[in-house]
Amino acid sequence: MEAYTQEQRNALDCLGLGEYHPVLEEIGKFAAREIAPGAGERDAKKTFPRELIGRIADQGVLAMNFSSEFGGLDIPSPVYMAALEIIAKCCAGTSLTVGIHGTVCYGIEAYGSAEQKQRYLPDMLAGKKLACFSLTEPGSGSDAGSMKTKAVLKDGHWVLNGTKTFATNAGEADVYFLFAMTEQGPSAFLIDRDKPGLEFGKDIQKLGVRCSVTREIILSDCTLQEDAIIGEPGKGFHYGKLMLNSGRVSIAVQAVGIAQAAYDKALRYSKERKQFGQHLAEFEAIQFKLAEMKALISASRAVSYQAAMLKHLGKPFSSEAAEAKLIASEAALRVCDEAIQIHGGYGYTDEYDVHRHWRDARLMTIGEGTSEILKLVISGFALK
Amino acid sequence: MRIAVCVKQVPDTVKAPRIAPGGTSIDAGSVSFVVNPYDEYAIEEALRIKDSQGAEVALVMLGPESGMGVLRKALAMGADSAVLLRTEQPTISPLAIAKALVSYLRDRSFDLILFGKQAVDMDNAQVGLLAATLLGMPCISDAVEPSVAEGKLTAEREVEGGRLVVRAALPAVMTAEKSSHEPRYASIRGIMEARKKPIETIGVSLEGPKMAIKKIEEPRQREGGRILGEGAGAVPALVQALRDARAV
Repeated sequence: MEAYTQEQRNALDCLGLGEYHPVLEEIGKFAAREIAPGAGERDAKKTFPRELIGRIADQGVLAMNFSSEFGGLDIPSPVYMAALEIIAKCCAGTSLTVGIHGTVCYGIEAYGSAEQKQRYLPDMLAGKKLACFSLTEPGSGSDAGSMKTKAVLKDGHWVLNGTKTFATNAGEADVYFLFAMTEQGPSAFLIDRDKPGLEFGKDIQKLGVRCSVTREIILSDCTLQEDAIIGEPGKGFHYGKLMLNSGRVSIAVQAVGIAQAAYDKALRYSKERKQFGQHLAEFEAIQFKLAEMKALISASRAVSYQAAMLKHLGKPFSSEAAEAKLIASEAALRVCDEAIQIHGGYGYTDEYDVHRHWRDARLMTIGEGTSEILKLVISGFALK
Repeated sequence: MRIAVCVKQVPDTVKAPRIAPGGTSIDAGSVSFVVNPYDEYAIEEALRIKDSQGAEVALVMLGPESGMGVLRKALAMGADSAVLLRTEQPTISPLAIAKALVSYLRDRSFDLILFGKQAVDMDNAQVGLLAATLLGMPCISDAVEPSVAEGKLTAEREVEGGRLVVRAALPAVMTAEKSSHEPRYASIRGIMEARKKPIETIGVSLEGPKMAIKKIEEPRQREGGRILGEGAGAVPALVQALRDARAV
């Protein structure tokens, strides 16, 4: 597998970021040799890639998009997104783990106090501390505003009670960026793992990205210092919105990577499998499928990298991020579906592993903003 | 401690190269170039010595200007400096190559000079040995796991039934075999820092080659096997086929 592809190269050249080719070539080499080979087994056994995340961190991937003030590498967002696409192509469970962590780092860098940034970011960028993002509850998904977890200020301490769910990295992470309702409204808190009153439910069994851990978080009188709050009480959704913008771009590029993996497998299979005396690739029906898949992937990549570039340029990118995720996640489902179809019966078996990509892609139209919510967001911008 | 590692850029073996018109060279445009894999093991050993006891590691590449990208990638693994001995002449003759490298290496106070045991394009496996001879230094060849202590180089070589442990007084040369010390990936920080490290370029010319490549051709297509039959009934046909092929 050529992990850093010519198509990605072209996309970065179009953004004037060709100087970073050597960085992505090395990440591609690392991903192809170290991340890809164990992906199927990690998915089958649901093995959290703890050691692999450490090695990805040693390469510097987690530090790419952040300021050197905290040990970051000051590399533009599209380059990090290209790296995330490569990792997703190799193992979507691993890329999801990395992506969520990155979103929390972004939130702390953007909205944390100087003390919070100093206390958390250097370790997080070095991979010494893993982060979890927790917004969703059993009763509030898209309707985040109806969350029931409460944080009450008592004698200079925040006391949190409630239950969260679908928290990626929960139980493995060291730092929790968690939303709770205060008197003023939704607020965001940073919670260290060892805080009493912070407990985790069992790993939720999922259709895909099975090496990524997803747990409930149970807060029982979890008591935090007053300075554990991010920014101001009541402004949690303001912070969350920007973090979701970045998170949506990261989901979009992961969808691109997943689609690319499925497409590569389908392409290879169509050149090997023969029926009716010729390779599948010689039938126009299959050629047209491959063409549509390739075009969808190219388009998804372009809008995703462009949204990342807007972020890098410091321009607003809320609508573009939502559009990118909508386009890329929906496209990935279609590509992965066709990839299974091209494999015929073998596409339905574990041996060929192509269904893993469909199972992984199926999350991407749901998490970090369902397609339906994204359409509300985008039309909101359109009709402003 | 000063260590030099000689590196060569070679075609990436992932894709089969096209033969250039003329049939005596490969079409450089049809391949991407990488650091010779055995040289990567040599670089890794140099960096391990640097990590454990401190050393200055210099990379030396003999090759064309287009080799700069590959040299910078090798530098990104963690070496301190790199120099390109620039020649646009084809590098074919091991002796000419060794002489050109030695013209740089001599009198530069290197305690240890490492090579990969052979380059995967030409497979001569001579340059390191010739360079050591020209420099008047001992050479431990096809070796792994070098260590340096008290002015001596110790390295090991796998042999039939065991391992040979060889020791030489510094300054010494070693040619590296593949080992369990996998060459490290260049970190992103290393790649970014290598961009700023200056790479000295020195023009060199090679003495007239005493060797030339006469022809390069594609490997012969493997013919498919023939199924002669099944079970004991196929034996007469098999015997006949073996006779026809003059195998017996």
